[in-house]
Order: sequence, then structure tokens, then C-alpha cells
Amino acid sequence: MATSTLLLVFLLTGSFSASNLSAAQLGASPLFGSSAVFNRDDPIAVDEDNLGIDAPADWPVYELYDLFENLFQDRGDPDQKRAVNINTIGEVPDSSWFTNRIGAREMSVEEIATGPNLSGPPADGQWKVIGRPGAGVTPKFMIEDRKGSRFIFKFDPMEYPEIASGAEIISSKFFHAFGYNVAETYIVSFTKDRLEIASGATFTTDTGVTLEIDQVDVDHWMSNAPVGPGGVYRALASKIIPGEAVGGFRFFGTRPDDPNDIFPHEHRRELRGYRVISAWLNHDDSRALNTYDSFVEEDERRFIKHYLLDFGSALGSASIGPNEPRGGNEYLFEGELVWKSALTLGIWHRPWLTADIPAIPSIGNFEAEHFLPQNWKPEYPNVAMDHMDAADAFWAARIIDKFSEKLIAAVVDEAQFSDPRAVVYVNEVLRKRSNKAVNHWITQTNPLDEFALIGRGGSVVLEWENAAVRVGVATDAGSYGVRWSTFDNRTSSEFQISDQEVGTTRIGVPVNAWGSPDAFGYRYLRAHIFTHHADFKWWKEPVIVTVRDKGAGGVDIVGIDHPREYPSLNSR
Amino acid sequence: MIRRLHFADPQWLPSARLKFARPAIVSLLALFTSVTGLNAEPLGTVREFAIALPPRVAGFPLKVDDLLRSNVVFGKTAFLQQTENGSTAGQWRTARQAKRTNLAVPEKTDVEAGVVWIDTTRRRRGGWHGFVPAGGGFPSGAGPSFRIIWNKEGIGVRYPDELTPNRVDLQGSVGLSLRGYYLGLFEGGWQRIGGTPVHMNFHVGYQHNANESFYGLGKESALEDRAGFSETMRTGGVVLLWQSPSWFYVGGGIGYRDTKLGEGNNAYRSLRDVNLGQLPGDVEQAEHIAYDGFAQVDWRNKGYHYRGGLYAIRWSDWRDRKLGAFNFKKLDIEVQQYLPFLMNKRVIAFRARAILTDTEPGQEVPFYLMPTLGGTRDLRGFNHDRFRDRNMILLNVEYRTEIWAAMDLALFVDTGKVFREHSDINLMDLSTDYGIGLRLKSTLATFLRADFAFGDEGFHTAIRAGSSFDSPSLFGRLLQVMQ
Repeated sequence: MATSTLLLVFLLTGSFSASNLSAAQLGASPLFGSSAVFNRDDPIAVDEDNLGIDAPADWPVYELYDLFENLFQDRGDPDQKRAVNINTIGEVPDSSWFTNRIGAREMSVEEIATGPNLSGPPADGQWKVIGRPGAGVTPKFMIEDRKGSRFIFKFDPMEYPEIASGAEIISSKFFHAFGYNVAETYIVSFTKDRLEIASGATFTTDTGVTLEIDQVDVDHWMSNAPVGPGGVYRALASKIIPGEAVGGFRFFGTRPDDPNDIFPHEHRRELRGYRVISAWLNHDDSRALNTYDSFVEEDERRFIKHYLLDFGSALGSASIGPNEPRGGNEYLFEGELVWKSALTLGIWHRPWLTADIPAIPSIGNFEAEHFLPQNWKPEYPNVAMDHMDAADAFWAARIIDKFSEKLIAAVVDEAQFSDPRAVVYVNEVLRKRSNKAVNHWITQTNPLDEFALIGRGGSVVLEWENAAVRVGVATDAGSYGVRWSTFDNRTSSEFQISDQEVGTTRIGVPVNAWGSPDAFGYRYLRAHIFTHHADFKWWKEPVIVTVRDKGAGGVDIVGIDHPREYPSLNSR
Repeated sequence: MIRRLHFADPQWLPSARLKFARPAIVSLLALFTSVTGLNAEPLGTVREFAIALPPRVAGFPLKVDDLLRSNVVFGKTAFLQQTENGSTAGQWRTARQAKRTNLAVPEKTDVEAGVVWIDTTRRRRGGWHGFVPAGGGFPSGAGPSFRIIWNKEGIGVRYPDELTPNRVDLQGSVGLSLRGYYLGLFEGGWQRIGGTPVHMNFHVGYQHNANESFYGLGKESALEDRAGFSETMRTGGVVLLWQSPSWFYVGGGIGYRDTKLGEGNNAYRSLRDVNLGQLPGDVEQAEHIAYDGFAQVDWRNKGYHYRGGLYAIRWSDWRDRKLGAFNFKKLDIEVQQYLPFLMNKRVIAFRARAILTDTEPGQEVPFYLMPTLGGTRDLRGFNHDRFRDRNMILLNVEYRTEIWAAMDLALFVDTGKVFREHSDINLMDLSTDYGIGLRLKSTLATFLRADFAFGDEGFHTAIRAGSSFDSPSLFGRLLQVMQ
């Protein structure tokens, strides 16, 4: 076995020079990977969590229990560990949970504005009412168009037209561009005569009784929907997600009947970073009830795909009206604030009660002046969000930063607000909240990114950018300290080579001082990069960049580790 | 070879670079092993092995710690020997295959099952064939009580709402309390008759209040003069009212009330010991037919009131058809006003109420039909029905502050008086109390109210459902209780 392994090493490394490794070293090398920090395929770009599985059980999320569980019970792993589903450069691989989009590549305005809407809105012609989904407070029913596509139609409340549909359209496009799986959603305008009731269609009432759908039901479901001139209704058409619904996912633990689900959800970076985008969009309804697991078939394999849905309670909306001013500012129950308010007999009041929000019915309670990203909260605690560390937040904030003013405007246009004040106001608030969120979370860790290796005049240079400087929240750093060390991938040991201080964002790589080769014959160097900035003292915690020499395979950056701890008050 | 590398550059993927080399390597290995006889497995073979995972890994209760302690660790930290090619993707794939050997069906814990049952049950508002259990429905002093209500809203209508024409509702209830109170009531309504703004409500009822109190007439009555009595009533009534626009009501009705008094079942002295024959209605009780008319403007917000106002006036003429001695007229005026601020999270609520009676010479208002003050709905710092006389004025002021989404804290002051002559209508010699309260609420209603009041006669607590400003069925939709 050892001999064939050695042969493999020789063959795989191509032009690998046997003189660089003694036979003893090779012979003494452990077999692949039991203690290797980096594997050959690191950093991976795709997590193959789509292995075929047997049909899972339906595992619904119950609203009241979800509230109870997250408010009063301790769930999830209490340890605040590094996110476990990331690759070695701190990125989230594509998976059944997340697809890198705007964070990984340029997206055009058209692509952002289209979002997940690839198959098109309900076809022209008659729509058959076929049922009514039970969950949620929004008036809705399900239709099937002439092509057999099924959509859930949801309506805005009479007194606040466009509030929920606008919020849902805008948020779903942002969440999709960010990388999450969301349903296709469209704004549709129609008159009642386009609806007909499918023969035998039934629904279940709130009291658990199953009835055949009658015209009186459709009239009732639409009774509180605003009607425009000519009897035209506006609805949000949400396309039924392909696959078989098998419940929702929790923000902690794993699904016990899904072998693909091996990373505790509270340790998934994209679920932790969900806090950042939710804060930006004030999606305080970001709870397990608004998740969706679908048992899909793709490439002849059946597996569970994980979606986020129901964004009608984002921005300033609460689906059936404006969001409570508390939304995003406070949990449903916070004992300390209750006592404070009670003991002062209401003299002390929550700061956000004085927010000056214009009365725009299609927007509701959405503002940026009192918004503090670090204080933003969903309706009740979310275990994954609570596990978000500074590195998770940095990852998410960098993605939010990619949404330019132009892209934001394009998405807002998709909401088709009839009130021009709404368009202007939402754009302004989204921009301000984005700036606040990015500026805050970008600076909570040493904000170096965009690492690259450049060949320059026969030498190798490591370059980087300071994200905080790039977004404009910080001036140029005073200097950067770089400590180079060899790195032994087999033992994780480091041996310091040099300590340098540079005033720019580049430094030469000491290519003559690689560490011992690992079992694959790869050698490593490590740079601990400290940022010295008078205003951000905690940036002196280093970003650790690992460079790998693959011989004929070239040199690449195989590891990037950002400090995870938030700065303490003392370090500010 | 040195290249500028970026995460977005797909060409850095080592597996991609090796993709085409793999078949060649496998072939060479196969050749080598066949020649040498060595047992070499092809590149990329995943060696199957068993991981001793604890049962129900990642099920409920969570065993995440066990999973992490069993050396199946994820990401780039240490991992048991997994694959021959040292691949992160391979390690994760092996972990998934290992989990496949220890799957569990998601199950609810007992707590979850219980909460789900409660949630499911509460949604079934229809109860069991329309029957639902309830509490309350009795005056203060009745003690803990229990009722069964049968409710049928919108007979023949699938969605009975306020605008449904010809909507018929029926409700029946029976109840009893631990202190001997009991009642039976049947009421109904026919709303928006023929699609018009006209509604009709009716009720018939029988109620026995076992433990009512009498302290004497007038403001000067003494606490220690408390006497007890029981009151049994047969009542009935029909009301027609017009509601248009939605905030304006005007209407009238006719009602019947037959009253019998008896001994109370409490420790206080009997009413018969209190100037027997001097108290109007203490020896013989009347059988009344009453005619009334009312008008009301109600622009309070629906549900839990924090905005708007209520202005109501009701005039009634009571005819004693049995004794001919207790004919009287009554005027009932109520004003409520709510002043919200700080995003409706602070409210100052006012209520003013006056009940004035008038009789012709030789007629009297029976004492049991005189307006009273004292109890959980008016002067909260005094006993129930502490003050009684022919006329009454009341003023309540509350400052409510939301301390939690589901709870308000209230500071209140109640003041009022009873008096015999209309000339005594003034703001002098009022009985006053003050206190603090908590309200458990939703946007729909006050579920539970706890008031702690301090008055001249001590400290009183009251815990009951409903708002402090809800006058008992003054202009209720279904019930028109004659009082």
C-alpha cells in the first residue's frame, strides 16, 4: 500500500522534484490527510450535498412552538466555533443552500432585476383557483394557469396597497442575488373574470373543516384587497417551488433524516450571515416558519433543497399592514426592557419610538435614521444569527456592498410602486441602511480581502485590499505588519521567517522559504497580516493567509482566515 | 507557474486540473498493481468504515455535541482517515455516507407535541359543535365561575363578517359560580336586514345573583352597614338599531324584567334588617316593561382601543306593570376619549359617565335598579356596588404605556359620586381612588386585566377579562341587558 501511494504521489505531482523530498521523508509521511489542514482540492467551490437520498418525512415548523422554542429554550451548539461549512478561504461553497452570485461575479442590472424569475409569470388566459395554502396571515389562494404552472396569489391590505407585494418583490430579488434559494415572484394585475374555480377544488378552513371552493370563498379572500380603476386587482404571484414540500428547516441542528445535512445549521456561514442581509432589509420575520425544504430531483438524483420564502414582512411591511415600530429593534419579548419601561412608568421609552417616518401607505414603518445594524433583531432569537461572528459578518457585508445604488434602484423599480414618493423613499432608506450595515460589519474584523498573487519581475507578490478603505468607512491604514512563516501541512506547525512592516497593500512572497512538503508534495507559507490603524485598534488581530506551492501546478492562495471575535469595548 | 488567483477564477480548482490526468493515472496504477501484485485501489476510492455515531444524531434532543465529539468533525479540522486522495469533498461525502447509516425520523418532543396541540386547538374557534367553555359573565363578587357557551355565527353564511347581509347569529350560555350565582341566557341577532343598515337583536335570560351587597343609599353610606341579598331576574328584550355609517348607531327597543329578591348567602346581615319597608323595592319587587332609545358615535379603533372616541346617550322609560309604584325614567350618558402619542404606545384614556333617573310624584326607583358605583369597572378602589342612589356621575382617567408588545401598564384615577337630587350634579364630595394595573392584550382585545387600587376604604385588587372601560353591554351587538 505504501509503495502504491508513493507512486501516486510521484505521478500526481508531475514535475515534482524527488530531490526535494527524501525517501525517508516520503516513507515516513503518513498516509493521506488524517491530520492535514489543507487537502488537495482546497479551497472547494462546490459542496456536493446533493447525493441521492430516500424520501424524507414531512417535518413542518409549527409557529407557536418555534416561538416558544427560540424564546425560552436553549437550542443549538452553545460553542461559538468557526463556521463549519466554509472552504479554506472563508467562502461558502455552492450547495443546496446557497449559490454564489453577486458575491462571486458581476451581475448585470437585468440579471438582478430578473432574480429567480426564469420561467415567467402566470400565462395569459384563464386561471383556475385550485386551493388555498393554510399558513400565514395574508389573504391568498392558489391558481393554476393554462400551462399547468401553479402560483400562490397574495393580496395587499385595502388600507395599505402595495405594501406587502412591494416588500416581497424587492426582498426576494436581493436575497436571490445574495445567493439564497427563493421562489419566483411576480406582480400580476388582473380582473376577477380571469378567475374560475377548478372543479372539485377544496380548501381547509381555519377551524380545520375541508370545504369545496365556492365563488363566495374567492370573493371573501379578495374582499379586503384594494381594487384599482376598471376593477383591476394587484396580486403577488409566487410560483410553487418545484419538488415535494417536506417542511422547513430550523436554524440549529441538522435534519435527522437527511444524510446530506451534516453541518449544524447554527454553524453554517450563510445562515449566520442571514442576519446581515435581514438587518439591511428589516426582514424581522426571518424565522424557521418562513423556510421551505423541497425534495427535488436534479440530474437523476433526489435530495432536499433549502429555500427562504415569505418576505412580505420585510422592509416596513407586516403583510397585513405596516410593521410594528418594534420590528427589527426589539425581540417580541425582552425582559430587561419590559422592566425598564415598567419601573419608570413609561417615562423611559424605546429610542425608535421617536423615529420620524413619513406616512406612505405602500411602505409602512421603514426607516434608516434609528437603524443600528449591531442592534438589529428578528422577531425572536434565531440561533444561527446569534452565532454570527465577525468573520461571518464580514463575509456577508462584502456581498451587501456589491449592491450599488443603480442595482438597488433597479430592484425597487420591480416593485411597481404607484406612488413616486415610495420609490424615492425606499431607495433612500435602502441605500442608507446598506451603508450603515456595511460600514459596521466590515470594520468588526481586520478587513483585508481581495488577496491575490502577482508575478512581478521574477518574484511573487502578495497583494490585498482593505475593504473598509474601499467602502469609505476608514482612511488608509497607517501600515501593515506581515509575519511570514513556513507552514507544515502535516503537523500544522509554523516556523517564523520574517517580520516586516509595509505601508502598502502588497508584499513579496519569500519563495525560497517554503515549509516541508506534505503527503501530496505541496509546500506552504503563511502570512499573518496585521493592520495598524489608529481608529480601529482591533485590526491588529491578523488575517492569516496561506500560500501553497503545488510545484508544476503553480502557486495559489489556499487559506484565508479572518479573526472571528468582535472587538471588545476595551479594544475600541 | 505563478498566476494571479482569485476565488472567482474557476481555473484554480485543482480537481479541474487533475480531471483529465485521472484516467491516465488509474490506468497506470492498474498496470503497476497487476505487474507487482500489490493491492492498490484506484484513485478516488472511498474506503468504507464504520463510525460509532451515537443514536439519533442531530435529532431531538440534539446530540450535536456527541457528533462533534465522535471525531466526525467538519471543515478543515482534523478528520478520521476517509479517502485515499485527501480530498475535502471526499471527506464530506464520507461523512454523509456515514450519517446515512444512522438516520432518524424527525419526531416531536413531548413539549412540542403539547404546544402544537394547544395551537391547533385554539385555532378551532368553533369548539365542539359550537360549544366552547368560558369564564366570567357574572358580576363582581360571584367568585370563580364557569360557563358553557353555544355559539353559531352567521347561520347559513360561510363568512359572517360585519358587512354580510341578513347575517343571523345565535348564542346560548349557561353558567354558575362557586358562590352560588347561576345564569341561563339565549340571545341572537339579525344583522343588516335585507342588506340595509338595520339590525335586530333579542335576548331572554334568567340569572340568579346570590351574593349582592347593599350599604345604604347615598354617598354617606357606611361600609360597616353592609347587608347582603340575592337577586333573581327574568329578562328579555328586543332592539332595533340603524348603523350607518359604520361609526353611527341609533335605535330603540323594548325590554322586560321581573325581579325577585331574597336572602344573600354571605355572612353579612340580611337586607330585611335594614329599615325594612323604608327601602324602595325591598319588600315587593316590580315587574317592568321598559322602552328605550339610544344614539351612539363610536370611532374608536377596532380591537384594543387606543385611538378615537365613543359618545353615547340612552334614554329609557320603565313601567311597573305589577305594582304601579316603580315607574321611572333613566338617562345614561357616556363619553370615552383616547389620546395616543409616541407611535400609539402611550395612551391617555378618559371616560365620563352619568346616569340620571327621574320619577313622577309618588313613584320611586327600586333600589336594585338604582345606578351604583364601586367595583372593577368604575370605582376600582371600592367594593362592588359600594355606593347606590338615584343618580350617578363617574370620571376615569388612565395613562397606559406599552411595556411589552402584549402588555400595557396603566396608572389610573377613578372618581365619582351618587346622589339623590339632580341639583347635586357637581364635582364636589367625590369618592376617589387611584391605582396601577397591567393589561395582557393583543391587537384584538384585552385578555386579562389586573388592577391594584387604593381608596379611602382600603386596597382592592381586581383580576378579570375585558377592558376597564367596557360598560356592561351598554350598546352591545347581541345583548341588551336591562339595568
